[in-house]
Amino acid sequence: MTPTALNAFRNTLADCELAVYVDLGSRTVLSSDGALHYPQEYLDVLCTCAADLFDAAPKGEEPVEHVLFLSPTGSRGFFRNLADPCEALCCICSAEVGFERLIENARAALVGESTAQ
Amino acid sequence: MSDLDRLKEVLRRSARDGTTTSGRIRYGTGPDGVARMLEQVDAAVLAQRLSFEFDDGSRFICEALGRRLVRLLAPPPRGLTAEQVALFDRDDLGGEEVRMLSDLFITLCERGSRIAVTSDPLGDETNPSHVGIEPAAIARAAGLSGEVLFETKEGSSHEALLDALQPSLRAAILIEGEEATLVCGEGAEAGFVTDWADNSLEDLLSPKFPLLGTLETNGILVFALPKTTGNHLLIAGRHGSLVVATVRNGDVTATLDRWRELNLSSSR
Repeated sequence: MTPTALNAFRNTLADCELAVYVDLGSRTVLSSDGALHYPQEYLDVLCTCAADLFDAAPKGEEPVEHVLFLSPTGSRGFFRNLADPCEALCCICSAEVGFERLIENARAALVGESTAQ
Repeated sequence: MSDLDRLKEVLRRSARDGTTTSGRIRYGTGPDGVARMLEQVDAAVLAQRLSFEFDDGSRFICEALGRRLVRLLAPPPRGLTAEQVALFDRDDLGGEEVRMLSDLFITLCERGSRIAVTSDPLGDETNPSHVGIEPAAIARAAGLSGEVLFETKEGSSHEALLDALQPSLRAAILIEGEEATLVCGEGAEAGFVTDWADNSLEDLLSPKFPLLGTLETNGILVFALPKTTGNHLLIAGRHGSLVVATVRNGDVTATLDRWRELNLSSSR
């Protein structure tokens, strides 16, 4: 996903502060878009977090599609690209985010990205 | 600077940086509200001015130091008895006021179902010679189990979540320190949770895992398993204890909303 695509995704959500597209295998940040400028180290931590989570996820015939985290101070969403399971969309949102909308919009953004490719 | 002074300085700075407002706390019954108030006192290691605002708009302000309640600050909320009002004239609370304080706390908590708590550090303003009262003593006088009041908070939080997830809950284990206890489920469903906790949870409990601190303190992590499994897996943490559970159906948003209702501000 390009920064432009990430920005378009982020603009569909009022509560999304940062969106990052990562390669889970190499643990590399591929692109990002945020409300503020985030240092690379910060993006790398989010990428590592996504890779750790999908590595630890229960293994079955199909991979875990997404992992969501919520705390009183914020939320995180990690969405595997089902068309390319080695890549994932990660985002940081407020604790008040609507998860249903977040999931729908993330999936739509990833499908749009796959279609564009 | 001694180690103790250094620690105090760290805590003092932490208090200044952190929580002037900790949000609105929901409670079910009067005694439950008392427990929530006393938890705030119990958390006040350094001198704190605690302000509790109730649903009816009345405000109760007190000072706590060394995890003890040391003073109530005027003006008293409206509608109190003369004996309760007299507590606000005491410069230093002691054991003889325990019963009256527990009655006061219960009276206040019966005014609604939520409190907004504001905590302000007092620095060196407070006289360290204040004796004060342990919150556990007030809890016992209020009919709560003082010995287990704060120790069971984590367990109660997890129990509330698991209760809220019934009847979709399939299996759950509670992890406290090195001990893991199966609290719900049997057969393959229990095996799935136990195996996952044995084989994979350790990776997430590594200090290198970026979300570990928040997760263990107060957070929830949900793995949306493929739709074909019809389940999702959650890990919820509270004050160092964890619950790992599988929930039937793929509605992870419902699970997160249940957790949010139980753990986050209910004022919105």
